Amino acid sequence: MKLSTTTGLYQQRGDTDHLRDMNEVLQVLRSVGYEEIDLSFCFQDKPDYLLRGEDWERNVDQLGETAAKLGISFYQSHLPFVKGASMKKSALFQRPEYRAYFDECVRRAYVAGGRLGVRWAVAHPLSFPEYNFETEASLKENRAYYDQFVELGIQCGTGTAFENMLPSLDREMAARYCQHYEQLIELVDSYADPMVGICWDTGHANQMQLVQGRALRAVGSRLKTLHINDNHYGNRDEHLLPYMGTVVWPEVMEALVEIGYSGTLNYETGKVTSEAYGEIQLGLVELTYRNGLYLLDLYEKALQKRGS
Amino acid sequence: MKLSILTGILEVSGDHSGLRDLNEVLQVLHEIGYDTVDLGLTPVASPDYVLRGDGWEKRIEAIGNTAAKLGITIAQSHLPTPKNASFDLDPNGKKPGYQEYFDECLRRAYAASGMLGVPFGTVHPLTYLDAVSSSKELLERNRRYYDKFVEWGIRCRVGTAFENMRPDSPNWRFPARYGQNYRDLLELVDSFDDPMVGVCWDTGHANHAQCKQGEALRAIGGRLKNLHINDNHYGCRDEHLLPFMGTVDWPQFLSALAEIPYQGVLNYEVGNTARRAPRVLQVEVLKTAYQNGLLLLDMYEKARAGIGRPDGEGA
Repeated sequence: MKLSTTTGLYQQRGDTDHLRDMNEVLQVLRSVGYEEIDLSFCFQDKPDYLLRGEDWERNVDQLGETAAKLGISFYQSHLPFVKGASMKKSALFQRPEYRAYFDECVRRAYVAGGRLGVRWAVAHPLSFPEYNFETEASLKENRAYYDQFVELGIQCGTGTAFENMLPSLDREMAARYCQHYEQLIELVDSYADPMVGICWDTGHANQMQLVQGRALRAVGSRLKTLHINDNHYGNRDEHLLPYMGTVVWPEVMEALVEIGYSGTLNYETGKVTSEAYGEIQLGLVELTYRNGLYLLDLYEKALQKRGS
Repeated sequence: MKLSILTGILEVSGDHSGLRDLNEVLQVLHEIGYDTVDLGLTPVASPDYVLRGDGWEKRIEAIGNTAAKLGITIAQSHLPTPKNASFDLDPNGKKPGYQEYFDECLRRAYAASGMLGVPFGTVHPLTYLDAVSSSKELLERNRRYYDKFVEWGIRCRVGTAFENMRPDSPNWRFPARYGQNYRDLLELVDSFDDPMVGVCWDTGHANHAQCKQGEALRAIGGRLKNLHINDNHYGCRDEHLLPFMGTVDWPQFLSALAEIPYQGVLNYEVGNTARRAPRVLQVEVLKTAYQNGLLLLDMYEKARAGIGRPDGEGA
């Protein structure tokens, strides 16, 4: 298994609202040691968003050239997502022009992923408080929204991995659809397509107080991508490095071995670095890599243990 | 100013039970680069607590010898404190004999600090749940509890630094902790009218209290004796993260620190970044903490030299 991180680890910085140029981000992440990268297309509200404006295809192609030069591969990407998981509850989505912009960003993210060889694009299942969070209605509405994109992804050669969601920690909603893996499996299985799978976020699962080994065994071969991060149950969605929170990492690694997961060990720990800048930020990025090597070692040991 | 770190960051780990021997802790910190530490004397409930039982003085002497051999200065100590800064909220608080045991630990901690040449030990102002609405009564009751220890500290040549507290977030069981407002803290410290009583400033607690840290530090001025440098996000748990992992305004804090006559060390209290990690990973976190500290020191020095806003780009 290869170690990976999201570009979100270094796109943001604490001394400005501007995003770093993605080519620079790749260069820095490669210099730290990363060869596998999760392309974050989640900053659609920023003025300097990669997929905004008319030159987005040129920007994407240039990024591809930079990646090729650096020897970087993109196993996965993160599609734009609805903050809070509900369009109904989002003020932005009440404006039809924003909804159209968002949908276009999702479309572009799939196309960009296809051009860059992304194998899996991660999508957040949507929640529908207007339907009382009913499972059947939520599944139907998610299909109504995502089917066109899943199809587009297939045309682009990119699968769609639906992510287990975080419960609504601020209690703005009583529950989020697919915060429990049973709903997530039902959604994914409804496609009955090998190009639709699951992204497992270890931090979101921890906020659900899940026994992650049991959950991952239920997910099984549907698992296509990972969001590795840590947190403390009941606190914010901290996205800390492994062992800075309360996730039971040996259990997660053993379960990954058991289910034969073949993707990357992808860290989603951008909040560790997003307030920093300068050399301090770089130091934190380096720490994520060293932490990742430890977790990889843990995985390899679990692999050997299972093999012996 | 020297960089320092609380020994507590290495005393517990995710792959070993019990407390790590403090001599070993000093050795590891030394190997990473630290030559100045804050001696954590807080884990009174642990069976391995360094001040528990007979022979504690010998153990402290051994720590002193280790520190001397390694060239480590013990620049401040953290004295025992009840959990949640309140005997009313400490799960052990009502157990028979606990108060006597705790008080003896505190007494020993002062004595140990004196043996090791520590200038100031940090204590937490106490909150009494039946008096939370009266700063005057809380001050009186803190004096009633701490006076004998402050006096004992003076005899041991150890000053007492009262720490700014964080609010009871995210639980909010009561409106405010005593000492979360720096004006209450100053009132308590000034009531002693003694240079051996001062302030320990915890940057994370202040962030939770939504305190303008520059303004607070300027008000504290020369009373500042110890620091607990850490970061967090307002309203969440007391995260004790590395600087720039949370929302503390570090340039503002460092500018103010550079303005006041602080003689102490830049002491990191960031145990939550490593306490659950296996030991091998703890070392990686500590290396990053050390580099982070050197960069923060550099920002501080630039602020002292008046080189503009001490932002990280120049660091």
